Amino acid sequence: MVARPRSRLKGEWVAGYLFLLPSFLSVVVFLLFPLGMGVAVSFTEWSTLQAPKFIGLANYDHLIHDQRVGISLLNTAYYALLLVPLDLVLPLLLALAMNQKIKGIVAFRTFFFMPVVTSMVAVALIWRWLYNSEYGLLNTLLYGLGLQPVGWLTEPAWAMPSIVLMTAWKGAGYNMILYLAGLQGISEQYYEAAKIDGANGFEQFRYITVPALTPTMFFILVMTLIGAFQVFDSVYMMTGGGPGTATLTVVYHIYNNAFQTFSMGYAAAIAWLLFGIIFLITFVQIKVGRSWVQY
Amino acid sequence: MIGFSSRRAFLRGVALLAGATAVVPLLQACGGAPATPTTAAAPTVAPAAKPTEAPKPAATTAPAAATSPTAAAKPTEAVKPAAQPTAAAKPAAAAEGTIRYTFWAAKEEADVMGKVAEGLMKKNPKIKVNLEHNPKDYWTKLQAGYAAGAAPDVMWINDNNMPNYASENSLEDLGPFISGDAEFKLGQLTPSVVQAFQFQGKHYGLPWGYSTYTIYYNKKLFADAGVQTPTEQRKAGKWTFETFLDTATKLTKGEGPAKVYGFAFENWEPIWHSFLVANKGGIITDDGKLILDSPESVETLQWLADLRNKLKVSPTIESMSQVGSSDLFMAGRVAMTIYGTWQVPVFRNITAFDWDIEIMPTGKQQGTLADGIMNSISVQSKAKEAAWEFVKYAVSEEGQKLIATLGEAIPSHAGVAESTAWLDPKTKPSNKQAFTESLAFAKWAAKTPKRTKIAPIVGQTVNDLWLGKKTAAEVVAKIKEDTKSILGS
Repeated sequence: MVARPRSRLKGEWVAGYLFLLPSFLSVVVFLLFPLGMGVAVSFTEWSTLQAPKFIGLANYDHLIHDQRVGISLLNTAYYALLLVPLDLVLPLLLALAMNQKIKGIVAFRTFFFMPVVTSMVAVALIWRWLYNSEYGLLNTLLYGLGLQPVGWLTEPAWAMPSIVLMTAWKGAGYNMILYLAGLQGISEQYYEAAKIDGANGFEQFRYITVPALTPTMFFILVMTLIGAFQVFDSVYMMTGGGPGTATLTVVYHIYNNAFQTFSMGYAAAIAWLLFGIIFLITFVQIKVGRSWVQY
Repeated sequence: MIGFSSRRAFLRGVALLAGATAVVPLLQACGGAPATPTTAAAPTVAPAAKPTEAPKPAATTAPAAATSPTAAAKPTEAVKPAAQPTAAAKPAAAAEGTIRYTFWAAKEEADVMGKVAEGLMKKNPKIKVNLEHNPKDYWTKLQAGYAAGAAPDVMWINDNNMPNYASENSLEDLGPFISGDAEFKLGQLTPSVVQAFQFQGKHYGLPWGYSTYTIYYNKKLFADAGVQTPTEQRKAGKWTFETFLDTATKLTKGEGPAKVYGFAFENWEPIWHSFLVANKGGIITDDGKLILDSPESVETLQWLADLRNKLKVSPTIESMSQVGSSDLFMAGRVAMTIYGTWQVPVFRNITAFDWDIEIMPTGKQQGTLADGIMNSISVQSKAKEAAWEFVKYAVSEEGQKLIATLGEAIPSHAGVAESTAWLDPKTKPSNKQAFTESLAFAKWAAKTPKRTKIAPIVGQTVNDLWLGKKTAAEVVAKIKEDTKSILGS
């Protein structure tokens, strides 16, 4: 009598692990193992064409002296700095507008969400035409207003802001949905109570909506920063890191080393540096986040 | 070694890392990483599809022949199926099996490569050729194939990338095949082209076609302006940098949409490199020494930049950000431009005016650049005999006649290059000999793997010169500084 439940328990134990196995294996095969490989590769010189050669810390030594690592880090930080406020504020405004009870609101929400599900390649191709310095829509508008046309992607000072603008446009719909979910989670009662206390629209927004949305903002901030430090596809499509090194980001520099100059080991070393930086930033955010996230 | 259970897993690790490691967006980042097929218009492939002229890290590593946009330039003369070789082909006993053949090619080229493969399969039914057409991210995929131990049997390698692949022991030395095959005569191929594709004395592939950089000009604009064409100037014995500039100045006129420039050039390295060679300059030597800092190189770079920014006979980087000199030429908005032979099929679509080509103007010497593509066999191949049959067939008279119809590359088979299969008087340009003539004084990409390693730095830095933000001396000094770690000082 004592043995039966135990054997049933044992059977469940096995079944449990069997259910776990597929995801566990995929984590091991596609994440943990490659991560380990990545560490190993960073200590080698490897062109991918023949077996890697162990060279100790030489890649990391090169990394310290590589001017382009510094340039690409600064460029990436600049990108993040420009993108984060846009990613926080624009979608919030959109969400507030999309939270109205008007006819056809679902259609509007869909429109704003569409860029999110569009592939970056398609988006970048269209935006390159918008940015075209001679025939582009933006310069045609500027010209019509009697202003000087801008070399959106060809002028070093403008190239990065141009990429940021496109990325913010593309991503706005996603964050809008996050904000919308947050907004709809705020109970009507707070607003009713505030009205009775005589709070005007702005005060309601400032003291009810914003604090209630801080967890959403925190999530967006963390994800935007992580995404910003990994920016690659838009740069690859729009400027190829140029003009000059104006949009050379860290991941683009990794790509250059891995696939243009056959230095896979060095590329892995830069990738680990990037990992460290992202880890540190996220760690700090989570620590600091406790002080301003309200719920 | 480090003890990876498989090279495939090893590679995957790097691919993940390249996408940069962090929590959730990891996979997302990898999705956007270069190896995915979703990224169209890759810088590594077609400079024509490239974002800005700015960095062109690709132009240097980019397969030259792939730069031409797909344009339906149908050869006027239909391909005559070459008569069956007189002597019955005696394929070696071991030459059988299935081989994978990969190339980047535009569509028309891919069709011709398909015909070459069909030709061989007809000749030798024991061999099956599977085509793997990779117009996007060619080199990335090839690298990944090698790392996974699954590289194709036969592949295109251009002169540009040849030193990397040859020095890494990834290409089969064809020496034994060449000497062991009585049917094959290396002497039939143009010797200097074969030489250009040799690395440290060994044959790591056989070139099926090559191209030289020449001046393309719009005959109508010259006639309208009453200016001597480059061909006329050359005949008169005065086709130099000075008369070139003079010509470009005379042909520059108009304002706004009617503006016509005398000359337009892309920012791709091989384009300006051609001018450097014609003025006794260069970028790097075969033994990896920088010569971009020679007085001749600096002088030529400044001269080219001045054409744009000071003398204004060439459109600026701004106005060329999305339209290449190819588009401007086809629209009749520039009188002269420079490209390799591979531009011919594109320009054959021009109906509004007549055009022709001429060799590069003479600077301190006669010179230009040549580039080309060879078929190579992977060391990983398990059907090397069959692969050799294919490589051999592609440079045979039969295969080369198919290739000649493209007009995109000069056949490496000397006989075919001199025959009407290539020099067809019915097709443009009429001065096709200028392509083959240029070969005599053309330079090829330096045979050092360091060349592609410095290419991104050169491309990124030289951009400031085209923008008019820095002088040639300044950008060259910067390039010298930044490439020290690669080239040594």
